[in-house]
Amino acid sequence: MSLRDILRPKPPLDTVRAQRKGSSAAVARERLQVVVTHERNHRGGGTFCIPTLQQEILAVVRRHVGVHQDQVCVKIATRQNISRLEVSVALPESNTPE
Amino acid sequence: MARIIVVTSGKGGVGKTTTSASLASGLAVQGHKCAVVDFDVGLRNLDLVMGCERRVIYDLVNVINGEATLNQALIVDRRTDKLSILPASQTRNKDALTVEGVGRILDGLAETFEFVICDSPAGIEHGALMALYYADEAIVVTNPEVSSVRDSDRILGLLHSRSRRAEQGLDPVREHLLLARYDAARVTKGDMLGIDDVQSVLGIPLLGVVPEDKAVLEASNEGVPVIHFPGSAAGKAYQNAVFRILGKEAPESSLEKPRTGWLKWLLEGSG
Ligand SMILES: Nc1ncnc2c1ncn2[C@@H]1O[C@H](COP(=O)(O)OP(=O)(O)OP(=O)(O)O)[C@@H](O)[C@H]1O
Ligand SMILES: [Mg+2]
Repeated sequence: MSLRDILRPKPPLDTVRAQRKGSSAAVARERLQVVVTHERNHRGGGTFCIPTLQQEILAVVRRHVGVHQDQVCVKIATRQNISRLEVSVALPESNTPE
Repeated sequence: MARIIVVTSGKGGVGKTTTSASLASGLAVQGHKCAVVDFDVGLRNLDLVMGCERRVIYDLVNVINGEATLNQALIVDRRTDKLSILPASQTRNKDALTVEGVGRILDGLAETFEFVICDSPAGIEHGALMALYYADEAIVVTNPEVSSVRDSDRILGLLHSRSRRAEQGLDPVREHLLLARYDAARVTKGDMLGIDDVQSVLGIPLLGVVPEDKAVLEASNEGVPVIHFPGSAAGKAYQNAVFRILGKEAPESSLEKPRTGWLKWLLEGSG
């Protein structure tokens, strides 16, 4: 640390003031967190993560039938602004109902 | 395998074109064959920032419509022949871009280039969707400002749901945050969102922080990407981002680790 740093009080004083009063950046962060969380929840299909969904569907299916990772396919098909979630599970031959 | 990288933001005017021009130039200077594509149909600007506006003959839409070949439309950069620019169309309507047409262009580029940088238009409409659809990676350019951060989050939502990788259930698009027009002094004062603030909201890894810098305007006046001004703060920041894209160590500039408490500041000095 240099003497210059000691003699230059502005940034620390500002920081202290900002922390005491609640800075505008802190307000911005709070507001953003609220609005972004809200929008994510209302995005409906906009944010869910396909790989996660695939893993979870795989886990549910596996409780009933032994299937391999590659046999569960999850994808979204979008045509003319309509999105459809497509899930297909290929059953192993031994498990195909007669 | 070519890396297709979209430079996107949602909000307009945050620095996408500035970023696309500098990153593409930097990758080329490092020896990697790179193409940079302007997806801003109707509002072509990348050519000006790259300084090749007088050499534009054919554009993206001409190639999609089969009126010109990719090689006829690509403009080789004056400074490094590893870099080519594919300009946007100035007159046609935005619907000229189709998933199929854009796919053909990118496939063609991927045959010869290591990197394809897609400079997205602002917004979350057709043009922005076309620019991000085939991306393997996304650089989300964000200013430390509430509206920009919110719009970046919406773009992340689109990357998660409307990209090719999402629709086909492939590995997700790799997302990177590029914070632009950052003013460390204002962050210290508490009147601008800091790096941690933005990252905690968006939750994606940081590729770089580009400071607010007068050199950016001067560079665009001259039609030279700011990365070619190695003495400028913005040029250095873009250079570091290029190293990180290439998986190399890049020095963290002091502004990328802002000192938080004033006590820490006092103890550590101004570094
Ligand atoms: N780091 C910076 N410092 C100062 N000015 C900057 C910086 N980055 C960008 N600018 C300025 O901001 C303006 C917008 O930049 P740019 O055109 O790159 O944004 P954009 O996101 O591509 O805009 P659009 O959404 O219209 O395509 C330009 O005038 C540019 O010079
Ligand atoms: Mg632009």
